[in-house]
Amino acid sequence: MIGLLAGCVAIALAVLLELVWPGQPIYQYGWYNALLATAFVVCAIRARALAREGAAPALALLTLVAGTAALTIAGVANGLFAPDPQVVIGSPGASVRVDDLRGSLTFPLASADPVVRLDRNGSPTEIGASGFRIAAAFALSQVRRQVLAVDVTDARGAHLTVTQPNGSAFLSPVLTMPTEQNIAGMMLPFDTFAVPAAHRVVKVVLFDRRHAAMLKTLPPDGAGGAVLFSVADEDDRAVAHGIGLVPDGATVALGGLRLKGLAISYPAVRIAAVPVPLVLALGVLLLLGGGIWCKLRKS
Amino acid sequence: MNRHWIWLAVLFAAALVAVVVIAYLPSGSSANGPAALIGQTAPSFPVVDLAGKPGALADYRGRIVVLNLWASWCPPCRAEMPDLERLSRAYLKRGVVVLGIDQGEAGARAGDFATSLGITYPVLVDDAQQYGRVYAALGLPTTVVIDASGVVRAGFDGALTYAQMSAAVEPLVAKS
Repeated sequence: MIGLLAGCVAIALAVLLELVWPGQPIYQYGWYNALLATAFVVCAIRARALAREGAAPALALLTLVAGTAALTIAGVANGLFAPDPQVVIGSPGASVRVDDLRGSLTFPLASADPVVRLDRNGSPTEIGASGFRIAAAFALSQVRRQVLAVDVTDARGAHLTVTQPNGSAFLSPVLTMPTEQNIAGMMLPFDTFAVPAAHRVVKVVLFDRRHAAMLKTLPPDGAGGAVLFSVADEDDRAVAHGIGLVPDGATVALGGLRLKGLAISYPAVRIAAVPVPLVLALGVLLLLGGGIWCKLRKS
Repeated sequence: MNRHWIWLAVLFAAALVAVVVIAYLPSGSSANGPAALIGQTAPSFPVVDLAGKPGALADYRGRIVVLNLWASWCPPCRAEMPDLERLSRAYLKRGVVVLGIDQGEAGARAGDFATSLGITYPVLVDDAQQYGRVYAALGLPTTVVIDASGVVRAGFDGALTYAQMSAAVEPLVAKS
């Protein structure tokens, strides 16, 4: 009996860990899920034997096994059917629809605001800077990443519209830097934006402080990060004097534009699947009930 | 008896599997762009008008607002603005205000452009493009219809005809 209880509790703990540390790659490994399923089968066989021996009431053992089955199914389904963890990146003030959550995430307007809001079924959930929140079968937590706020004016200093035809928000002057570019062996955040009024497309590469320190071409006042701008026309043809590397926050005149990029730390949301909480709760209740029942009747 | 328990166990397991699989299924297609804001309170940000004085969408609370995001470099915006002017004149006395919000440009440029088209409805200048990103613009122009209580009732991506604009505001005018 002790062996059976220990086995059931071990399965429960393994599955509950998926709720405490969500999104670990091991949960999707085939051998891990096979191990969980095998452990359950062994427990079920052992429970059947104990029931035949009369070591505990059959219904109590059945309850115990049912709870363990619920936990095993929740754990294995999380490993086999749940989507991979993803990081949802949003522009300040933008609302991003997330189909897995059947809701949308609204990102704060200012980088200093640490709260991202999830709207789901009409009820808002706030995702703070620390810890994680559970919504449906997903754990949501914040990750901080570097984004770049750009400011573009013409040669006379008149403001120009920035658009991101391929970005998460078309009319946002904040580049979320969703992809990476390999430059001299360094993987660096990369993004593009357009300046339709000037018929220009600008590619941007962001160097953090560590990578910027490796650059020999950066002016000596660059104590922080650096930004590489590459200005082209709307047909992606390079324009004269269109490439420049400047310290983060500095203004530079390139390709008929005056460009300024300021790197800021801004929240994104990591979404990782967890075992379905409702099934977990049912499994734990049945397991505890069945376990206590077995022990009481035995004593 | 034994058979009943086996069937019960199979049903229990099947129900659990169904619950967990459904929990991970993504939802179907959903509204994108400005239409995704329908039913939500329309966000407002302090910006400036063409004279440089403070202004915001919130200043027009209590009236039906046709919020139009535009920029001077955008040809469809230019094509649409005479119809917006016509709408403004036709519905002004019926509690509808057309509000143009220039996206990302200098006030002088926006003002010159509006004057050249004979625009008389209020125009605000949002050089930080706050309205554009929050109203989920997929392009320009973007038009959002907001009722008198400040709730988004319709959202459109791209240029509208006068008939489309009129059809969008008429039900709200009839209600008010």
